Parts: sequence; structure tokens; C-alpha cells
Amino acid sequence: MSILAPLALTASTGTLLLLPLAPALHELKSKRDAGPLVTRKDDGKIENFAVSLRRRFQTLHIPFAEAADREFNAFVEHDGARVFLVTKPETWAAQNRIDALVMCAVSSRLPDGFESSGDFYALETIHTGRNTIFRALLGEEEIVLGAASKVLRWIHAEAGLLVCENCLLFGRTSSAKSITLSSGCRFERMHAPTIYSSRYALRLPLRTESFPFSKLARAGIGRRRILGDARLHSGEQHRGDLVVTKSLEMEEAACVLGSVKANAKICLKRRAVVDGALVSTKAISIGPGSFVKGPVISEEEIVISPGVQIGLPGARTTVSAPRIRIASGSVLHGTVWARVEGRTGD
Amino acid sequence: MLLALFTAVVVLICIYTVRHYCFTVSRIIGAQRHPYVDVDSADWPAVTVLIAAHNEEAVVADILSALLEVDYPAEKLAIVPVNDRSVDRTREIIDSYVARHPGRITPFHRAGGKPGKAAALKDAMAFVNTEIMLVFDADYVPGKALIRQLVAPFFDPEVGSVMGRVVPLNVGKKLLTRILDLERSGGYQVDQQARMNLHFVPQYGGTVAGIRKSALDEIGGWNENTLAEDTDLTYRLLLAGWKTVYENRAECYEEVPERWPVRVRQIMRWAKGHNQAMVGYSAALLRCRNVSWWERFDGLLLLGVYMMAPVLLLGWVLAMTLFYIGAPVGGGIAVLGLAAFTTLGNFAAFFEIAAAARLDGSRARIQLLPLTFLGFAVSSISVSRAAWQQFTASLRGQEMVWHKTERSRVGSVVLEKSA
Repeated sequence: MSILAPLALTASTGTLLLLPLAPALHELKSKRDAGPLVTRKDDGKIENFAVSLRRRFQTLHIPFAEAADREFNAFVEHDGARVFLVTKPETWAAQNRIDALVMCAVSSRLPDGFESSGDFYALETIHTGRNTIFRALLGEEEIVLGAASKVLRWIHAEAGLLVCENCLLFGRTSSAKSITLSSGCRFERMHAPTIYSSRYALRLPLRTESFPFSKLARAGIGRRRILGDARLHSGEQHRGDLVVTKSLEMEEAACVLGSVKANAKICLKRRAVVDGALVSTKAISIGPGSFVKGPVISEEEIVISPGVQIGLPGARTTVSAPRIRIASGSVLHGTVWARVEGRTGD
Repeated sequence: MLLALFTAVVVLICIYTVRHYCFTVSRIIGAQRHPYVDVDSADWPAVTVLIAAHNEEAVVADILSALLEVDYPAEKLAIVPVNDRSVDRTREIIDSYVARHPGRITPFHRAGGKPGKAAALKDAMAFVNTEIMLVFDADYVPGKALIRQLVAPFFDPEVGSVMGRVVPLNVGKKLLTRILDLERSGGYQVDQQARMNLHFVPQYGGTVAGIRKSALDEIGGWNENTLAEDTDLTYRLLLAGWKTVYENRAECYEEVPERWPVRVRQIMRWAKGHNQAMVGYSAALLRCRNVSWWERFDGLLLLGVYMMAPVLLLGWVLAMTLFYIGAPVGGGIAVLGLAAFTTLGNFAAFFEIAAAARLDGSRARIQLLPLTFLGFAVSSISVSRAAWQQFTASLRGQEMVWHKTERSRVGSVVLEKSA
């Protein structure tokens, strides 16, 4: 037997053992994927897209005064970007579809069926026609979104945002002042100091004050934990936090001065008050005329009846669930976030 | 007798194996629970951030700088570095920040008292005037939105504590740091999130974490007689009817050990502390009416997780003994062999690590998977050694000593480059 035989056996065995480790040893040496995982660094604010688009237009340095003297709206090239400058709204109707960035310098009324596949920046008030489609829309003044219009990424108005019937709002919808929805609208994430679910809601009397979050805790009121189902009777008041291991029903005008959590369905009847958070692992139903300071968090669905107020003008809050249905005539302050689908209407 | 013991070991290991499979399946194809992640507007409560610091001159400046930059109302954020008997420049660095940012930082320089993080935090409670407090170790670097992410679950009045995700920062330094990166990923991205998904018992981890003060007061405050105040707190809160919530998207960078002896000491301390909790709370958990049957079951398995290493070693010894004495072990040895590497909880099973790498979108680092066996072997032996030391120490009536994890960071953290 050759002396090489045991050496060959050892070498081949070693190779077979090391072969599965070859990719590992290669990665260990080359460090192709050796950086820390990238974590979130932004502040998560809904206006970030709007701020970013505004900054982009500022860096384009469009000679706007020069463009304003032109007779017609025009496409201009700036820093590699193709921008449609709108200075003569009366000629707007000629354009029904634009595939460039749009900068609208004057108050405009867009035609029915208008489509913008680039980002749209309006310096003054914008009224859109019916069935319009926008990729993204930023308005420095008021925006009125015509019926059955669609926003594919985000929309932000520095003044009021009025959304007419049956609009589809994918992504983020925000306003620095207020959002007024109409029936049949669908949305994902909305944020504004005040969100009205219909124009009728503008006339609702609003609460403006409640107990601060930590005052209750400091007062030593504590929490009460109930095993099983629970019911607060009509007009009953509970002071302190309330935790229920199953379902909770609050009858008419029942009140909790604190936060509420249930591990099954929560049902608030007419004029119930929760002066704190309302949290459920299942569905939440909020009856007509009720008030919840918030946040309102459900892991299934939130149904909001007419006349409901969530949050306060000076204390914005969040309504969050996979599905949210808001009836006409409700007022919410802050963020509404429907992961799967939000819908307005009765 | 030996055969019965061997069978018990195999059954126990199989239970843990099934548990890990369930977690992985839940994480990959199950419904994911992140109920509080969308809370971005709220009447945010006042918060105290406690920074546990014992000889942390290498890292304490980074966390103070990061906390001063977070997106949380400054008037509602109290930053309290808990300088626990440091003999290095920790005090000097903290005081320089206090001077440069008047009114933002309230230092607690602890000169004496019982050693250990829990004891230091207990003394620091005199500085906490808020209902919510967050705890960070000094080697952590919180991002801008982290405080809000950790505070949001406390709007739920059932939540007593919150745990965020720990992400290693010094990944590429050594083989050990790369293995720990994978283990952490599996432990948080799969294990913790699956427990959250399934309404089981996510664990409060002692850092990147929050506690409700009224809940802490209700359960009697910090337990300074434990080596793992995090596990201890998780179970005392659970027994008192409070939930712990895991926030997978509340990510925070940490520095993992770069030297094997440091890692061994760290995991031995964790094991001893965890085993203390197992002895202290298993019976109470079984009797407790406050928690569901699933929570009890998962809670017990979580308590026993560090005992699985010695149990596994015992299983191997029994398997060899029974084999050589000719006992009818059937397929027990094969089952033990297959299940062994899929069992040990805190150092995640290999398929959990693979699932976590996929969920994180990591590419090439998954190729290091075979090398995690090294971490598994070192951990198994260290944890078994810890259990043995604990057993003998209890026989002798000795008190356990808390060891701080040494830091290796040199210079400030520059996240943009590393990410």
C-alpha cells in the first residue's frame, strides 16, 4: 500500500468535513454582511414626505417669476428634472394627464379625470374634478379632492383638506389644519389636528378638557381587574383604570375616568365616556355621542358611530386597528391608522 | 431507573423542540401582533429614563448624546444616569453633560450600597417621579423614535412592562460577535415576537425596556437579591396580573461581548439569575389564577430554559451509558441527537436563526449558521457549569455575586457609517 493512501484518505475526509463550512468561512473572512442591522432613524412623522417634496422643489431653483410671465403653462427642465409649471389656470383643461413633476403656482381647478403620475406641488388652493388620480399631492393652501378621486401614495395640505364622496386614499393623508371626509371614502393612515368624518361634524360641540394622564396615577386611584365579562351600568362612573379579562359593555352614559382594556369585545353604548385609552384585543364599538380621550387600539376592528369625539383639540391621539369604520358626523383629533382598510359612511 | 430518566430527558427536549418549531411557524406564516406600533399621536406621559452605569467611561457619552436627541417632549423626559460606584471616568463624563445641558439630566452618583444592577435601580427610585420609567444599560444607543415606541404600550392599563429589540452594533469585530448577532436575532425576531403573537409570556429584558411604576410598587419594587432582575420582574408582574409586551420594532443598538471569557461570565450570570427565578416562581405560576393555561405552560418552559443545557448533557451521558450496558433505548438516542440542537431557548435554535435572518433581510450572514454550533457548545457548557456552581453554592449557603459585562468600545458610535 502506498504511503500516500492514508494521506489521501485524511485529506479527502478533511475536505468533506470542511466543505459545508466553506461558505461560512468565506463570509467570516470577507465580511460581506457584517454591519449592524439598519434600524429606524427617522421620527416617523407623517409630514416627512411633504417636507421632502417641498425641499426638492426648493433645490430645483425654478425661475418662477420668469415663468409667470409666459402666456401658457410650460414644461421646463431643471437639474435633470422635468417640471410642468402651471401659471395660467384657464389653460389647464388642455392637460388631462401629466407624467412629470407639477408645480402649480396659482389657484386652480383641475378637470375631471385628470391624472398626475409625478408628484404634484400646489402653492395655492387646488380644487380637483371628479375621478382624478394623483401619485402624491402637496398643497400649501387648501385642497378639495373631487368625488371618486384616488391618491396613490400621499396627500398633504397645509390648510384644510376636503375629501369628497367615494375617494380612495392610499398611504398617508395629512393636513396641518383639518381633514373633512365624506361618505364612501376609504383610507389607510390619516393625521390632522382635527378630522371630521363629514361636513355635518363641523357643527358638533367639542369637548376641550379632561384629566391629564398621570394625574390619575398620582392620585393613587390605581386599577381594577375583573376576571371574566364586565358591564358598567347606565350612568355608572368608575374612577381609575379598568382591566377586564373578557368582554366589556358600557351602557348609556357610563363613564370611566381612566383607561380601559378588555381581552374580548368592547361595546360602548350612547354617550359613554372613557377619559383615557380604550384598548381591546378584539373589536371595539363606540356608540353615538360617546367620548374617548384615547388612544383607541383594537387588534380587529373599530366601529365609530355618529357624534363621537375621540381625542381633544389640545391633546391629539391615535385610533389604530386593522379595520376602522367611521360613521358620518364624528370628530377625531390626531392620527387614524387602518392597517387593512378604513372606511367612512354609515 | 436510568432508562426512565433517559426517557424523561428525551420527552422534555422534544417539548422544547416543538415549542421552537411553533414559534418559528408563528413568526413566518402566523398573524403578527404589533398592537401599539401605530400610536404616533398621544398625550404622552412624563417619563424617566434610568441609565444603569458601572464603570462605563467607554460608552456612557454615546447614550447621553442619543437621549438628548430623541423625539419626545423635552419637558416630559427626565434622564437619570445611575452611576453605580464607578471608579473610572464615568462620573466626570456624566457631570460634563449635566453642565452642558442644564435641566435635562439629573445624575445619581451612587457611592455605596449593595452591588448589582437591581440594587442600584432600587436606590435610584428616589429620583423617579413619573408613572413610566425606561431602563437602558449604558452601552445602548437609542434611536430618535425609540422612547415613544417604548412608552406607547403603557396606554394599555394591563401592561406592566415593555421590552424592545436589542440589535448588536459591533457585529463585524470577531467570530463571537457574529455568532451573538445571529443568536440575538433569533432570540428577539423569532422567540420574543412569537410569544407576543401567541399571547404567551414575552420577557422583560432589563434594558431597552420600560416599567410602570405603580405595577412595580404593587409587586414590592426591585428585588436586589437576584442576579437577573429582568426575569424576576417578568414573573412577579405576570403573577400579579400585569402583562409584558414585546415591541419588535423598538430597536436599539447594543454592544455584545467581544471576548469569550466575557461572554461566558455573562451567560453564566444570566443562567444563575434565571434559575433563581425558576426555583422562586414555578410553583406560584402553576397555582396562579391570574394567567391563562397557555401563559402558565409557556411561562414554565421559559423558566426552565437554562436548565435544558445540563439536562441535555445528562441526556448524552445517559445515552452513552445505556448504549454500553445494552439497555433497550430504541430510537431515543436518535431523537435526542436530532432534538438537541433545536432545544436551547435563549441561544436560539438554528432554524429560528435562519428564520430571523430571512425576516431581517440579511443575506450573506446566514452562511455563518454552521458556526453557531460553536456558540451552542460554549453556552451549553457554561450554563451547565453555572447550574452546578449554583447547586453547590446553595448547599454551602453562599451568596451569589453579580458581575458586570466588560465593554470593548473605543471611540464614539457613528451609526450612519456602520449601517
